[in-house]
Amino acid sequence: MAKKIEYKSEGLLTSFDYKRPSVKFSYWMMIAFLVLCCCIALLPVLWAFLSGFKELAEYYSQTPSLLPESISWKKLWDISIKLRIGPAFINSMILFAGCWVGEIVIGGLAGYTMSRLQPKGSKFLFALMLWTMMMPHTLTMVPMFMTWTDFPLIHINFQNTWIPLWTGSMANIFNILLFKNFFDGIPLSYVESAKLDGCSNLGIFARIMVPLSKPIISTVTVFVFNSTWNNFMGPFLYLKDADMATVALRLYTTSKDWTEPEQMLAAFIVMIPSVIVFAICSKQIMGNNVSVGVKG
Amino acid sequence: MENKTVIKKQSKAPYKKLGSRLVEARNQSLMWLLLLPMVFTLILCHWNPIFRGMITSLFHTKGFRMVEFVGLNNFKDVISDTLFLKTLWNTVLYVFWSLLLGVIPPLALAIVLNEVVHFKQGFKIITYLPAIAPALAASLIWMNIFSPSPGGLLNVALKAMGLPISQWLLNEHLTIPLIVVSMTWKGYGVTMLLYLSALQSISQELYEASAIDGAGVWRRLFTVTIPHLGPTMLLFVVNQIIGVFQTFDQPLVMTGGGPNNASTTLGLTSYNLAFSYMQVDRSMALGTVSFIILLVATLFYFKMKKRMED
Repeated sequence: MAKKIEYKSEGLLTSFDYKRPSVKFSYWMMIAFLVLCCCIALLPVLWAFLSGFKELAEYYSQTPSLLPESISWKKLWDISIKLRIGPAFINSMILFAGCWVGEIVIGGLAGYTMSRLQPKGSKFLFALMLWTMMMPHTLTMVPMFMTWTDFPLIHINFQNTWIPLWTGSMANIFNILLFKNFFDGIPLSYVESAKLDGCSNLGIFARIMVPLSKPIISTVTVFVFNSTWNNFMGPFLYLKDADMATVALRLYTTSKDWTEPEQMLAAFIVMIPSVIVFAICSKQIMGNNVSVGVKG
Repeated sequence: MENKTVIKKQSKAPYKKLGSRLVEARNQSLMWLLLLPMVFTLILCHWNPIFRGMITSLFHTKGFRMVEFVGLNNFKDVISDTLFLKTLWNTVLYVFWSLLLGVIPPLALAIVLNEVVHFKQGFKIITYLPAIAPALAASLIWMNIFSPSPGGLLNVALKAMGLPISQWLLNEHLTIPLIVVSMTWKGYGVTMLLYLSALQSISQELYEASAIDGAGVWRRLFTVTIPHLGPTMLLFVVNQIIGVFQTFDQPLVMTGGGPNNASTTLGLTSYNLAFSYMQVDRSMALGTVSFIILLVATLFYFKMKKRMED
């Protein structure tokens, strides 16, 4: 175990420092600090899981305990039924599919055009997008709601359709810039040799760019999944039809009337898909999330 | 001879130019055609609401329809409202607490994570986990942890220590810091990654040089590591202020703005005015006020960023 730090050559502390026992001790203190951080990260989720299995009487008892008396998997099933997780999951996937098409096809094409084709004025557009991304969002929700419930010129109410939510995802500037940056990094010689062989611009996009951009597509896919899965405000405003409710929306609207243990278990269930996706795609998420707007 | 060639060149040139110009124009418009859907949604979803919101704030509204031009009356109403100052102060408190909790701990975590060699990837993934939890589920869970009922985690802990249970989220003085704790739990992972990537860009030679000059561990931390992170930290802090100033869904889910408006923010008030009280005009006036405040901060942010990049 301790061998590893004796060969450490990067960072603030190197193998030279670890010859001193006080530094060696502080190294193990740092490990302890990290373990503590992991506990802080995991504790709320664990608490939701444990308190979710408590009976009501047990939950409100005068001598509460951390652990539930029994973990019955039937409860997990019952709450899933109560959450109507099946239809809600299908709705979430419909939302995800539309947003995915919007962000990958529209966003990818836009990123490609701005990176490679560079029509006149695209530099200006790029600057404009950077500005727009930084604009405060305090004036977004209500005017967008006004726009979608009575669309200018055609006067159609788009509530209870997927269009407002799908369209909103097309305007995700961050992902478009992610695409642009990625395409900027592809060597020009690929494109030039394809052009010499008589490939059209669209052909270059389909035959060279798309196969090369699998990593960025998978990254954006994970982002789209997370944002659609977590989104409850959008569906809350635009999907009034109970049959169209997504999982997050069901959690928001129905769990208010539930008991606290039920609520916890429901929150835990909604968290499971996110964790599974993260477990599979942690590289994509952590590699590219750095420049996302930060909060917290 | 010379004259002839000149004439020939002249007579051919305009024709060629026109042809290539046509091709060029066709190409340009085709390229813009690819950008068109994106530009359309950019205008529709980003610029349209800003202008529409500002215009609406100048009108009297019935439902979501604009009825009558009233100038700056809505602004007067909103700012003279007794709750306005309290809400503004609350919002500032959110920012204050989020800076207190959200700047140093992720920094410490990133520095430590950068030093550790055992189980590094595992620590990184587990500490990042909260960042991918759905915000709503996280808010619900934290709401339960801070619950005033005897089953909330903190109350269970208090009882285990033999202390009387507390009101937590329903305590006017605690509600904002507690909501910020939940926000920080959700957000620190991204901040940590930000610092981590800045840490990894520090050249090893700097450390070696200062070590040879006899700088101890702490000295190196404060003369090499922290100064190198300075720009990242400053940008993060401004970004954080802008982000937290717009907080609205956490208090909406966790307290609904209560108790006694102790946790309302400008964003939440604006939301409630529009969707609960149907005073869209006032909601938009309030939105415009916070928009302008934030716009100033954003301009400052850009200026600072530019200065740092130069």
